[in-house]
Amino acid sequence: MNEKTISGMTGPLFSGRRYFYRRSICDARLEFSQIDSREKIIEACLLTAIGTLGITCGFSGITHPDRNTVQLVSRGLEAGGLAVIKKKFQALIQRYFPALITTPYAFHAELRIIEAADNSLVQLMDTGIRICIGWRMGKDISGMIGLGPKIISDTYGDDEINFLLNLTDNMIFYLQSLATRRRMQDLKQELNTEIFRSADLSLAMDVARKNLDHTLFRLSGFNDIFNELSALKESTSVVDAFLLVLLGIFGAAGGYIFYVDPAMQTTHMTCRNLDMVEGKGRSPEQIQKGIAQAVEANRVLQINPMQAIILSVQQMDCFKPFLPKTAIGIIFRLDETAMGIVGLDERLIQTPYGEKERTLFLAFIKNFLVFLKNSKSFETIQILHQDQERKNIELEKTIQALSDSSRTIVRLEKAGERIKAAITKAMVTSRKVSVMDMSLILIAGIVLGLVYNFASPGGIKVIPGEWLRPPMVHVEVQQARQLLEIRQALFVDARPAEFFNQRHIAGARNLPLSLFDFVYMMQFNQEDVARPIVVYGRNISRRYDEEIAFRLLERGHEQVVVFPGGIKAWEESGMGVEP
Amino acid sequence: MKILAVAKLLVTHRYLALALRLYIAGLFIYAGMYKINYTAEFSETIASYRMVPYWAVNFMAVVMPWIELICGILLVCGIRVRSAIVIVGFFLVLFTVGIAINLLWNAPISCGCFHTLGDAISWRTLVRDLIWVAMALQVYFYDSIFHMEKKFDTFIKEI
Repeated sequence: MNEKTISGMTGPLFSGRRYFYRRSICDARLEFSQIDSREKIIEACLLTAIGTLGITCGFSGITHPDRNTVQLVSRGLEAGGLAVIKKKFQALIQRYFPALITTPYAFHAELRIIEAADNSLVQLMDTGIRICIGWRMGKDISGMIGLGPKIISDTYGDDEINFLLNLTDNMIFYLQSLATRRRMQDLKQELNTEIFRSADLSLAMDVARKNLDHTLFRLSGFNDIFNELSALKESTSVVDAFLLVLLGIFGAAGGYIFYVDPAMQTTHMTCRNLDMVEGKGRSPEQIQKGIAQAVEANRVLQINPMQAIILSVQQMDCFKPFLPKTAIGIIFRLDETAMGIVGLDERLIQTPYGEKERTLFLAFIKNFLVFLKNSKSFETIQILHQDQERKNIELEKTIQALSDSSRTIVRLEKAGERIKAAITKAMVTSRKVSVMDMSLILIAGIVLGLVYNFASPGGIKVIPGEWLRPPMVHVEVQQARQLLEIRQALFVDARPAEFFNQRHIAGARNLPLSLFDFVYMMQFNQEDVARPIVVYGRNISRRYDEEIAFRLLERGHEQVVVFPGGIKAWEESGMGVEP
Repeated sequence: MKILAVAKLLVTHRYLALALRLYIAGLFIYAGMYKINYTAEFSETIASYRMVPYWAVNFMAVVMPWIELICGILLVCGIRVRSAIVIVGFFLVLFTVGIAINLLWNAPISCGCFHTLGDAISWRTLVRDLIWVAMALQVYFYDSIFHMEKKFDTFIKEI
C-alpha cells in the first residue's frame, strides 16, 4: 500500500507556482470570508482546488453535528459514485482517517493518496478519486475532500499537496469563523430575546406590583373592617362603624347605611355628610315601608340571604324619595327579614368608582354581612339569654310556690287526717256512751242552772243557810225533858204537816217552814217570849229545826233551843208521842 | 214462737226506739221547763224524799231541771243520744228508787215529777217510773235513726 501523508505547510515559498497557489489561497480566503454558508464554503474550497490545480473531478463533504446527515458538493463525479460516497461518507472517514477520531487537536487535517484496496467496502478509486483530505473541526464536525486526477497529470506534487492542505486549513478556519459568527448571531438573537423577555417581565412586574398594591389595599380594607367591627356586639354599632371604615377606605365624601330588621324590631339609619332623609318629613317607619315597596316592585332587588348586589342608576332612583342620592349603592340582605342599603358619595380624589372599587365594595359588604350576622346572632342570643333568665326566675318562683303549696298540702293533709280522725272518733263516740259527753251535759246543766238561779228573782240559796249563821243551842233528850217538866217549855215540830200528822211529840205544836209566817201569827203570836221553846224535826235532807229556831229567835223569843234527837230520841227515852 | 219473734221484732224495732226516744225527750223537756221556774218547791220535793244530804238539796234543785231540759233537747235532736239517755235513765232509776224507798217508809209525800203539788206517791207511780226506765233501756239499745249528728257526719264525709 503506497500512502503518503503530509501535515502542515512545507516546501519553498518564493517560486511562481507557489505564488500562484498563495494568491489562490488569498482569493479563496476573500471568498470564504464573504460566504455565510458552510455548504458554499466547502463548495468554494472544492472549486478553488479544482480550478487552481486543473483537476477533473472532486467532491467535498461535511458532517452535521449530529453525524447523521452529510452535506456534499461535487464536480465531475458520476451520480452513482457520488451516491456511494454520500451513503458511505462516515465509513470512508473512519477507514481513511482513523486518526481524526482520536487526535487531541481541535482542528486537524490529513491528506491521503488513494490506492485500490481489496478488502475495502468502499473503493474511492472506483469513483475516480485520487487524493483525499480528511479534516476535523472540534469534536462534532468532520469532513472530507476528494479530488480526481489532474488534467495534465495523475500525480500531485508536494507544492500541490501543500496548497491543498493550506487551502483545507483556511477552509476549516473560515468554517470555524462562520460557526463563530453564527454562534454570535445566535447569542445576539438570544440576547435580543432575553431583552424582550426582560421588558415583558418588567411589564409583568408593574402589573404584579399594581395587583399587589390592589391586594394590599383590599387586605388593608379587610383588616380595617375586622379591627373596627370585631369588638362590636350591637348591630347598630356595627353599621355605624362600617360606614366610617368605608368612607376611610374609599375616600368618599359622604355615605349612608339604612338597615332594617323587622324580626328584631330594628330600623337604623346612619348618614355622614349627606342630607338626612328624616329632615324631609319622613319617619324611619315610612322610609322602611317605602323601601320595602320599592324592593317588592323590582324583582332584581329580591336577593337571597347573605347576598348583595350593586345598584344601577335606575335602581338607585327607586330609592330616591327615601334615601340620599349617592354615586354608588349596594342593596344587601342579611336573612329572610333583615336587609339594608349602603350608599357612598363621590370620592374626594375625584376619581370615579372603577370596576375594581365596585368589586372591592361588594366584597367589603359581604364581609360586613358576616359581622352583621354575628352581631344579630349575639343579640338573638342575648335576648334568648334574657328570656331564659326571666323564665328561670319565673320557674324558681313557680318551684317556690309549688314547694309552698306542697307544704301547705302536706299540712292540710295532716289537718285533714286529724279532722278525719276526729270525725271518725266523734262518730264512734256518738254511738257510744261517753263520759266526756255526760260530763259536758252535767257541766252545762250546772252552769246554766247556777246562772239562771242567780239571775232569777225566784232563786234559792244553793249554800245551806245554817252554814252562814251562828250555831243554834242544841239540847239532848234529858235537857229537853227538864225544859218540858221544869220550865214548861214549848215543843215545836218544824216538819211539814204531813209528817206532823203522822207522828209527833206529845204536846208539840206544828210550825212548818213553808207556812211559818201564817202559822206563827195564828198560833204563836201570843206566846211569852221568855218561855223556852224546844224545836225539833230534821231529816237527812232538811234541818227544819235549825231554820225554825232561827226564825223564832228573829221574832224575839229568848230561849230557843234545838233538839236534834227529835221524835226518835224522845220516844226512846220513854216520853210520850202522838198519835 | 212466731208471736215471740214478732214481739221481739216490735220491741227491738228502731222506729219504736225513735218513738220512745221522742216521748222521753218530751217528758223531760216538759218536766225540766216546769221545774226551772219553781226551784224552791222542787227543792222541797227533793228534800221530802229524804235521800239527799241537806247541803246538796238546793244545788240539785237548781241543776237537775236544766240537765233534764238539755237531755231532752239532745234526745229530740238525736245528738249524743246514748250519753243523754244514760243520764235520763240514771235520773229515772234515781226517782224510782226514791219512790220505792219512800213507799216502804210510807212517807206522805207527793211525786213532784211534774208538779210540785201533785198527787202523793204510790205503787202506780213506781210502776210508771219502771216503765219509763224500760223505755230508756229500749232507746239505749235500739235507737239508731234520725240522728242529726249523723247528717253532720255524712256532710263532713262528703266534704
